[in-house]
Amino acid sequence: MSARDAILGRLQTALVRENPSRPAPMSVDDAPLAVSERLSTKPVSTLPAFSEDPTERLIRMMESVQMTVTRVQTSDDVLNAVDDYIRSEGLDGDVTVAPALSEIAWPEHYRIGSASGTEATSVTPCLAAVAETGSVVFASTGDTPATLNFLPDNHIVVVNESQVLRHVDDVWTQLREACGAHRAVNFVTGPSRTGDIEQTIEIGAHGPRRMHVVLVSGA
Amino acid sequence: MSVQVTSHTFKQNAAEALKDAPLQDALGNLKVGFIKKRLNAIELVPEWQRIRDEAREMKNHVLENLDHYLLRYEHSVQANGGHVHWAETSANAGEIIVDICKKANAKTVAKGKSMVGEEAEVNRRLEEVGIAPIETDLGEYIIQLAEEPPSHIIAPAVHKTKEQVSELFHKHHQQYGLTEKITNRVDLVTEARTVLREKFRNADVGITGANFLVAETGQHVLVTNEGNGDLSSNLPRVHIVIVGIEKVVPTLEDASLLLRLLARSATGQHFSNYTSLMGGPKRDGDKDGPEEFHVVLVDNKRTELFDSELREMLRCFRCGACINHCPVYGAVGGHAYGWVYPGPMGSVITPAMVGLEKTRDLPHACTLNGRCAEVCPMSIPLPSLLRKHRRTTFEKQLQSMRSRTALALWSQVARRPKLYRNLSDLAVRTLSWLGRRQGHVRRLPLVSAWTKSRNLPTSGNNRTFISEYTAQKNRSESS
Amino acid sequence: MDKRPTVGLFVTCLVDTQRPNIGFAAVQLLEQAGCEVVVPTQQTCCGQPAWNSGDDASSRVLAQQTITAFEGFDYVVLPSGSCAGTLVKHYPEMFADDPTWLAKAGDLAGRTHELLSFLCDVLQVELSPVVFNETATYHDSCSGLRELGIKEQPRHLLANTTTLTLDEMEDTDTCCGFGGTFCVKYPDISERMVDDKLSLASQTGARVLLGGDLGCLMNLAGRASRLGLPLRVFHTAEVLAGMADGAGIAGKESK
Ligand code: SF4
Repeated sequence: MSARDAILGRLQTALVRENPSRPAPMSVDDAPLAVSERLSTKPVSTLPAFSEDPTERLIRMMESVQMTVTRVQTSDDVLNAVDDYIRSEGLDGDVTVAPALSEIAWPEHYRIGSASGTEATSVTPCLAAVAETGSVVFASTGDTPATLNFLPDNHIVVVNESQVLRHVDDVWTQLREACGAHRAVNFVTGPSRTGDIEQTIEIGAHGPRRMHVVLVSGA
Repeated sequence: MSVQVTSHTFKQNAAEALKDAPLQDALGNLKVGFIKKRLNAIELVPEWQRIRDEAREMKNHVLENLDHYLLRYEHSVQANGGHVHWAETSANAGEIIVDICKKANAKTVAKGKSMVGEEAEVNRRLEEVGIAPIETDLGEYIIQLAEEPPSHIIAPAVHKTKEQVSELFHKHHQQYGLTEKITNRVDLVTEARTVLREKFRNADVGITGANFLVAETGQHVLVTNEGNGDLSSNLPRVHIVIVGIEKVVPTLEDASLLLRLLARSATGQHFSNYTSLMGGPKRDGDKDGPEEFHVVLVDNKRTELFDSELREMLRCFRCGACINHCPVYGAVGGHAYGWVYPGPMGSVITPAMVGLEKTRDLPHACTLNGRCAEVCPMSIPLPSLLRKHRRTTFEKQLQSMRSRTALALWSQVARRPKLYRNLSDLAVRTLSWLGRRQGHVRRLPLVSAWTKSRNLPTSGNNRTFISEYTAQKNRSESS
Repeated sequence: MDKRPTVGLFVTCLVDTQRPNIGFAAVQLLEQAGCEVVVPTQQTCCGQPAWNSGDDASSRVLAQQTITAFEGFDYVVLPSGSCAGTLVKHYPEMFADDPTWLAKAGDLAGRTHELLSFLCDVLQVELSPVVFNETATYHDSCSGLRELGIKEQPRHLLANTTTLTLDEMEDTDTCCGFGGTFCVKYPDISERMVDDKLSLASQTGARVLLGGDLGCLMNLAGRASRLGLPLRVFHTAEVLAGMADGAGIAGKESK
């Protein structure tokens, strides 16, 4: 018997002993009603309520985990906001921009593409931002490669206010509407950190040490 | 680091741990690091108890249909282009992983933290065939250098002080030309980052665990703070997930339900820094991601746990809250428990996975104070599960002759109220006489384990309460 | 007025043999509160040590004995959270497969209370004032706290009845390391735990340590006395009854 059948068989033996009328088929198509119902209705559990304005909360939550936020009016202001941030923080080194943002007229020396591993800073859009947790959410595609979220020292994220969702579960709805299972969907909630030396938090364990959000109010 | 079972020498391990000064310092950090932060985080969520109840219900539903959800998960992974492997034992899991790595011609493997990987001794098995596993979680990396097993499931190096880390790095990083001895925490983290970044770049295979498996989408959820899990998943050509069969949940909504509990219970964060949903290899048009994706679903006695009175333990999602709040863990640390899982959850799981004969101290080394169950976000009644192990120990007569005889004697006497009265009166008279000057006894042969560090109070009366009370009653009624 | 409620006092083996004063204090408080107190002589041990050791058969025998000994009382009261917890929570578990005894266990559980929570929650009694001009700190015993929710009741009674000042230690609800047979099976670990607890207690300004479970109190008092700490240890009932005038548990009586 294969390991698969042995494992499933042991589970089923126990379950059928408890409930002799329980069917025990080895195929996805024969799921009991409770299972297929849960999979199709996808019940939402209790969500932590908040009365704050979602954008206000998002900013507050992000700042509480050492992200910084600049608000700008329109997408035309993104270029300057990014440039200002890079300059004011004195971020030397190369900049890589996600292909999804290639329409902006970036300075010559910015590279468009996936992470080379040598750039200091990345600039990416996001799929959504979540007020509940203060997270930015990235979905991997050819135009938004996941490595840009992890390899550079500094990560600048462009968020449109219209992308701000209330709860994590709202992201699921959006993902399903989009196109189903991306290879990677990353919720990032602050720069990389570790508490592994004496339980004291230090920033920049593996991923970015700085996370900066440019929050665009209008279109 | 391979994990030898040393649970049978728990008492000795504990005695050594109690004398280990750096360990005791390190354990002191737990309280501030975890307990207070958890409390602060939970206070901000008035819905906490409701969410907890829903999580328990959801997971119970999954367990009642675990076969179906695993089938569904398998189906969805395959639809995403991934491979699913099933392992009955930890050895099988190890072999499957070694096989995949060999086929990929792997020289080095980047590993994210995985407790199931520890069960399967993945590192030892890879090293045996000449493949170099590199732990990338900072805590795991530290103990890999120290050649020690983890002492905590979410903070594997919690027993190490900064000075010890500094020594380790100094010793092991010279080979990379990093010869200066670093002593401050920020620089230690930076140095580890530099060394590990290079390792990531060269790794052929990435191996990580998973916090949840989503049956609906065939994705898994991986939670880290460092981002090492994401680098291990995204950079190498091949990505392997090793995970216990109990980790499956039906839908994304069910994953977010558990995520609300996980980080708060584990570290007191409202959400971990990196919470990633991943599944399958690189899609068409993707610029990054692995070419091959494998999941190894590990049983390793989980089906036995499932078919026992301990089934509720399979709700555990390894947050570590019970460990952080366990006063016994706080006194002796994780290594004393002698295997992968320490603290209350370990004392339930370890006997089930490696055998009660070798681990009989674990279920007993607990005061049944109940704090673990109080904080467990999955409402697992840990003390009553430990008691079930104790019952098996008793039934199979695995405990020491001495404690068995003492208990038998006690129950025999307590069943006979008259004899019990007489013997208690005798005991009280003797004790009072012994303690007549001090109000206590400093040394007493039969209870030497008590009098070794405590005085034994004596009542100051010559009689038990019941004799005295009955006598007084009779006097007042006859007068 | 209604007939006075009858209370069967289950004194517990530790109080019976180690600290009868707590038993007398309990009787005094219950009578003060208008109860008719009876101490059945058929009582021995509630069976907790056997239950916690996994000896289910012996636990059931002792439980049956206890259930029978306490038939017919309006209430069964114990000056111990852990023994009360055994009757309330664990007796029904012991007879899960035995409907006859399960019913009896359920009936007993419904009538059973820990002393301090009984006075405070059930009788809601005003006790006669007691002068006790001391600063005390409080140890919450685990079983009472987590199995029966006893936390505020003793503090409430102490504040309303006595003149003592309460100076709470940090982590009042952390285990003291007693754990029944735990403290003799794992004496080293237990010693570390009790030392941690006593060091927290000593960091307060208190010279008196109170609690509601004699097992923990013996552990704390026995260790404090061995270390020579200037701490008098009492059961809360002793203070409430105005019977806490000596050197306390494990202390040297001057009388
Ligand atoms: S038993 Fe509960 S508290 Fe302990 S690790 Fe598992 S889920 Fe967390």
